[in-house]
Amino acid sequence: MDSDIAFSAVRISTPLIFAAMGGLLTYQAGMLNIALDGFMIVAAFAAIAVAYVTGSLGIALLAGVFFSVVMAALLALFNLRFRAHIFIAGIAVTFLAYGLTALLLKGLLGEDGVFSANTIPTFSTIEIPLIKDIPWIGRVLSGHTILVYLAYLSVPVVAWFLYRTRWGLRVRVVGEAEDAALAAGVNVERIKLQTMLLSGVFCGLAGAYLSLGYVSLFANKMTNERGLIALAAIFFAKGAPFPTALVALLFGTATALSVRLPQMTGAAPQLLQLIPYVVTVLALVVVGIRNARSRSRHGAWRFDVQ
Amino acid sequence: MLKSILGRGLAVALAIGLGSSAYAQDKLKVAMITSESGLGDRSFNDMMVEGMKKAEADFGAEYVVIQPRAVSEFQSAIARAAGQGFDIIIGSSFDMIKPMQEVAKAFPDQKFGLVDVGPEPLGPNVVSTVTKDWEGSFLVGWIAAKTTKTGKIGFVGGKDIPIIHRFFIGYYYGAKMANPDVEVFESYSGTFTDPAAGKEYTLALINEGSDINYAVAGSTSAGVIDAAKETNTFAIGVDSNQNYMAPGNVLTSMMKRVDTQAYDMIKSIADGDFKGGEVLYYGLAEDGVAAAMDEYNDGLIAEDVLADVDMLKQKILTGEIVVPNYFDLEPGQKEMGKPPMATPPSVADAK
Repeated sequence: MDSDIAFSAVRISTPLIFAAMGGLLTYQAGMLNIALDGFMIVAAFAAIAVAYVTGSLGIALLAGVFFSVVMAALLALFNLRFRAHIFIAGIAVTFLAYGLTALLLKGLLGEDGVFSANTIPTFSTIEIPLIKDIPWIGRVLSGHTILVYLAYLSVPVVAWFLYRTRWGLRVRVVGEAEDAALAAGVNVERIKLQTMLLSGVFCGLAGAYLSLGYVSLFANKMTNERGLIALAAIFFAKGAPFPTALVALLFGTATALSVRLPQMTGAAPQLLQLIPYVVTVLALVVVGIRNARSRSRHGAWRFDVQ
Repeated sequence: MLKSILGRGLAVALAIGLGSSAYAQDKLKVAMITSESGLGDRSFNDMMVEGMKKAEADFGAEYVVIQPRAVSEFQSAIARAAGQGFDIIIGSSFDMIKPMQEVAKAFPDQKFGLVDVGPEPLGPNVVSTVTKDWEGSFLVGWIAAKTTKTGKIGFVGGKDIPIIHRFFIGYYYGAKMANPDVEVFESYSGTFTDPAAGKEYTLALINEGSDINYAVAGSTSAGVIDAAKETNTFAIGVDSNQNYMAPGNVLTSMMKRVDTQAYDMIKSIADGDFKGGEVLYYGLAEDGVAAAMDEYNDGLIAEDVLADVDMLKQKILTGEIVVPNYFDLEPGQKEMGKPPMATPPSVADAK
């Protein structure tokens, strides 16, 4: 495969992996977080607005994460405190986020639909010593921005916390069997709140990457349902971090192929643009078959279609 | 932002001022209804105000800008204006077709104008315009083919749909007429709302050797311009002047001159030949489209290429050049336009 395609696959997958890590934590804690897009769009807006005003990428990143966490807290408030169904509340939060960012774009930045400015700083690319000299691999892995590496590094970190710490055990117990967790004295509400807020942190990074790393501009609804794709990856991998990241990468690769192949092969672009979605549908079919086979072995809570 | 506040303040001040003071009866009174993006959009609404200002200078027309806050308020805003004795009420955008038609029916003596909409007549007291975006695309295609250093230029459309093909055909025709050897890449991002995808598609074209890419893709276009900035190549903007989005990397923009169109509507009132019920076509010859030139793309296009614009305009006016409109092409048509040129296979197949 052309190294250029692989390079862009790594880049395309980055926001998906961030969002998937965020959604995965709530999935493990037994919550279907459909508001990933809402968190991301707020972060994307906050990050670029703050970068524009302060000129600092660090502060912009923090602002993106902060406001994404605020949205997560709002969803937690609806769901955990007021007992709204998380699916309904999630949709509400997402629409609120879309509307709010469009409104603030006009109100604060005076722009309609799209905002960009030449004074906004950009992340510099990082050349990894040694790796960059390896043929092919060097051209794929080296030369990305810090957030890209952060996304991939977050996968083992999330895995470690989930499977190697007491906290991770509690998260999984809450997800698998809430009653058992309660009986064991686990503070279910707190665990759920924590995973939801962490979900906000990851989506904050995803959103900031979209508006400041991937491109340096903001456009209404620019997440373009990446959160839902991340959810599909989580479903497929049943919330396990490494497989989830792999599925996200698979989706990114499929997208990269659909972008580059029409030029290289002359095939109809519509056909190739189907690739990512066909991959998703196939993935869900595989999950469905697997579920049907292992249904008897799982008594505990699962999102998957039973 | 400051500009938009000033603009809004001015509009409000005007509205109040006009509302309370008596008019001199012989003065032309015009109401402009903004589309959803409102004043300060650096796009159609701001450009229309320029047309108003020109009419003010040329025929002493007084104008009021009315800014409905949402599409749902269009009809009530137009109806209120219709009750206030304006000589003409001018709006823009497809969203305003239905509201304006409804009000026009209720006020048969009021004259209305709607800028940059479809080819269907809207009513006996409404004049509307169609912008020949294919001729504008032809012009920027010509400029791109004359400017490219690699001999390869690209096109990034939002979706693979007929209205976008119309831009591509014009672009292709202009590029090939300027230089038959130029390669024109065609690609569609499949979305109008994803700048990241726009950037990805553009980087792919640049990777193939294209150094000028025409973006016709809504806010996905912003990603095309972002890619040009990052790789130091050129993008071409669309609809309004987008040169400011990346100074030095936006070669030009295919601009719909809604200011000319609005100005001409006011002029027709002043001259007493209002063309109610008609649909007017605005192309290169009518100054309805143009390649945007300003301080942000100063010096990017060679002088002799700019000089070609007048030559092309003249040839279109005399009918020597007819830029093909995608919607007029027949299925399987092998040649298009005048002078005839081979139809690109992607389009011939799609038809």
